Amino acid sequence: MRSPRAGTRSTRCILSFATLVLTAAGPLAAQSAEWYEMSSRRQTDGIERLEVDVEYAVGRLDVGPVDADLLYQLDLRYDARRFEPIRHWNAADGTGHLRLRFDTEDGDLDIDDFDDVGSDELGALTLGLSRDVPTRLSLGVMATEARLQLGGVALERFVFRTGASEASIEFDAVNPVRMDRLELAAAAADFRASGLGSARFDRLEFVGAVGDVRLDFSGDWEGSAEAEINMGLGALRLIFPRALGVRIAKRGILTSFESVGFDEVDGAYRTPNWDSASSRLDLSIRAGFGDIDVTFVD
Amino acid sequence: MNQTNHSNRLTGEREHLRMTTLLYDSIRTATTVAVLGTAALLASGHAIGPVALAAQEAPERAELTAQQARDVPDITGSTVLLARDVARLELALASGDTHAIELNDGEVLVDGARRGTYEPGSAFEQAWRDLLRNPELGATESLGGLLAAWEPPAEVSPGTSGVSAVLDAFDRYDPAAAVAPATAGQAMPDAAVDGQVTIVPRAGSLEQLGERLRELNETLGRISGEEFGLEGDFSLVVHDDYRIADGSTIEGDVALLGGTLTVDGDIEGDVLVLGGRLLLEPGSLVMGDVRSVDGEVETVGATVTGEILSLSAGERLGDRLAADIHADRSDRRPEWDYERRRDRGFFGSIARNVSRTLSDVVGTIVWIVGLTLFGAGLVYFAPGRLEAIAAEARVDVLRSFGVGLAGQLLFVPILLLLVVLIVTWLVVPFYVLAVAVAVPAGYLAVARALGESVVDRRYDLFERFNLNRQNTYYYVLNGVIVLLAPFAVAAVLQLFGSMLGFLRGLTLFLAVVLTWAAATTGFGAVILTRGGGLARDLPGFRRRRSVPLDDLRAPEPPAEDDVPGSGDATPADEATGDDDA
Repeated sequence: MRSPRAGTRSTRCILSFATLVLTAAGPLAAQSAEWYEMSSRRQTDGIERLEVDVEYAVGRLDVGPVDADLLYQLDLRYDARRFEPIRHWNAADGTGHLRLRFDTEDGDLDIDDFDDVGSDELGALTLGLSRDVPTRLSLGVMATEARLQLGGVALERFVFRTGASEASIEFDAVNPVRMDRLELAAAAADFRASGLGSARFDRLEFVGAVGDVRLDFSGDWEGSAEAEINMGLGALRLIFPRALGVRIAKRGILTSFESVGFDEVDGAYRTPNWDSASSRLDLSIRAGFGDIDVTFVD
Repeated sequence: MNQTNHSNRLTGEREHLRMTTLLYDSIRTATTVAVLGTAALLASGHAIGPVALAAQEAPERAELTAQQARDVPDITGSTVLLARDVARLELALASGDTHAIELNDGEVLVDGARRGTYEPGSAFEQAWRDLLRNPELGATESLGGLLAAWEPPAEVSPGTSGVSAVLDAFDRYDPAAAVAPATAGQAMPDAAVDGQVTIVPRAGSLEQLGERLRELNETLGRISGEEFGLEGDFSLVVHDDYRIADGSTIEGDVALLGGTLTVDGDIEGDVLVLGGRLLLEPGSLVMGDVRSVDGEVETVGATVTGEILSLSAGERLGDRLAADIHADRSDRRPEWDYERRRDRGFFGSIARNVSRTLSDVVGTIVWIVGLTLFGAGLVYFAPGRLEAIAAEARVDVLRSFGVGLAGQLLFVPILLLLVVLIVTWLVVPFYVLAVAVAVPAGYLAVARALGESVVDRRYDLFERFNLNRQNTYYYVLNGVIVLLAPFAVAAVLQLFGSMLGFLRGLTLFLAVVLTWAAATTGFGAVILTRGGGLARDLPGFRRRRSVPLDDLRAPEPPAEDDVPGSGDATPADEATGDDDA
């Protein structure tokens, strides 16, 4: 018959082994990070148009304008043991193409790799773009804190896709060039965009899955634009300047919409100044489940 | 432990000593390399731009600079070495030969042969060093006249053997004396008289140095994420303060290893900065990339047609790169193997796998403890309902699973219906709360049933750890352990890294499916029993209706006439009042 102390001995053996492993693994794990700081910039020499495609997984992302003589500036702080930046540049016919991606040691990005990593240990990417060279910018970010100060950046097209992150976009100065398309997609995020009137877009498309979304269309409007918003589940807050003529066509019976300040015409909601406004925004909203809150500002 | 980790453990003193040694080695190597390389390449007809290596004495650091002049018929280049005990001038001649004059720790050497002596630290040595620092030394067209006209200070006796040796050596560059036969008594080296100079290289060559720098440049490319190579050869290697004058053009790539490189002219190539400061003055032009590691680059007003890339990683990266440059050819494998950067190394991978395994195992244990505590609460506060749900789940598994699946599918539609029917809005929170409680409660009821089933089988493992106690708390504990065991197994499989990645993924999948199946079955049992309110007498299942605390009471020792195994109820059954239905 087995001794009643056998189980206790086994437990002690297991605990002793675990202690040994923890003791050995601790110092090894402590030296896991190896931080690199990389700065890459190019002058505008000979480049008339720029296309930037960036995919950034984890960390903090900041985007803004750079000095006059620079085409772009890219400052990156990353843990070389976790990531490998993959940059690609080519220029042809006056158009420069910049691509930045990150690879992990295993070749695939696994968000689980960063479960035990604090936000201050994830690194940062700061991207500066020219105010003079028309730029098509595509940003795909995942578990990041993104702050995009795009005022003054010459954005010809802007595509922003974000996963589970906190993201804000601000156009605090007028876009020097007309933007033909502004595409925003937020999966599960606290998403805020302000000064969209200064973005000078012709068409805006927003897709939001789950989360709180705040789209502020104030700013310096020039001309008219159209926008399409698709919301899954969450709260959508829209802010319009009073001088802007707004027309909203809404679909989705499970979404509440407070229509104060709008006149219902032909199944759509229009601001009283729709016919007289110098700038108009024709907005189509398709929402699944949630609230749409509209605010007018001067 | 990989090499990186090993390097990280170097102490500062050791690192400093190593770097100092490397720098001194570099002086010796680069000097020979420059001379040999220049001579060899010129002799072989290879087109090579100006190669410059300059040195300046410092308390613990010697540096090297070379400059090239190409328009002087006799002297095509000069190499200067200034170190603590050495002050050396090497002249590259148009014939392909070299001529070296060196003050070395009290001795004057001409082409390696001892020709005289001098007093270290004397005015003569100081004057010699001043000559070697003279910027006009780079003007090769007038270099011959400069050397021929050089004179030691007045307080130095021209008759001193060392002084005479230097003056004699310089006389051959005097245009007036160039064609004249050597003055009688002059101590011209035989080799020079014969027009042949033999220098035994200590290590490497200029080509090797250039190759090493190119490899390093490619390494930088890998680190910074873009593969790039140099467009051409290194035409200028600078290890001290140096200026590329306005109007001059460097045809090829430039490497800055230390000091300040001021550029007023143009560089038709890339610039590799490995320490030091690159100052591109307004109006200057770099027709390539500028890549800097732990260096300083200023480009205000200058034009750089390529990328300006800076990379830093504290002192470690710069030191390692410098070590790579100066590494001996026979040991040229970098101490820091960049190719293996993606690989953590054997021990690094083990540490990572162990860390992840421990993290996941602890996480699983936390879940086990949490669920067991929740289950214990159910056992304590609602034992009858838990028993009823567990009985339903165990006896009628398929029916419970089917109802649970239907309940899951109908959850959202019912919720939407409750929302749409405005009068039912008040029900929504209760509905959501009820489902939120029912799912984990059902899961725990399944765990309870599963735990009892396991205990009934009396596995040896449970006997070993004394887990075969027959009360509801242990049933729940055992059941939760069994249900979560696949997660623990998947965690342990991480120890083997990607080797068993597929198996781990499969185990995780099964664990998730098992969890979902248990939760669904339990949810269905909750629905079927109306939250455990509809207790059914189910065959083959022991209902436990007594106060749960009785479970914790130690069983009474059997009476003398109450022999275990006689077919009577067990002490546990008596304590809990269980009876088979």
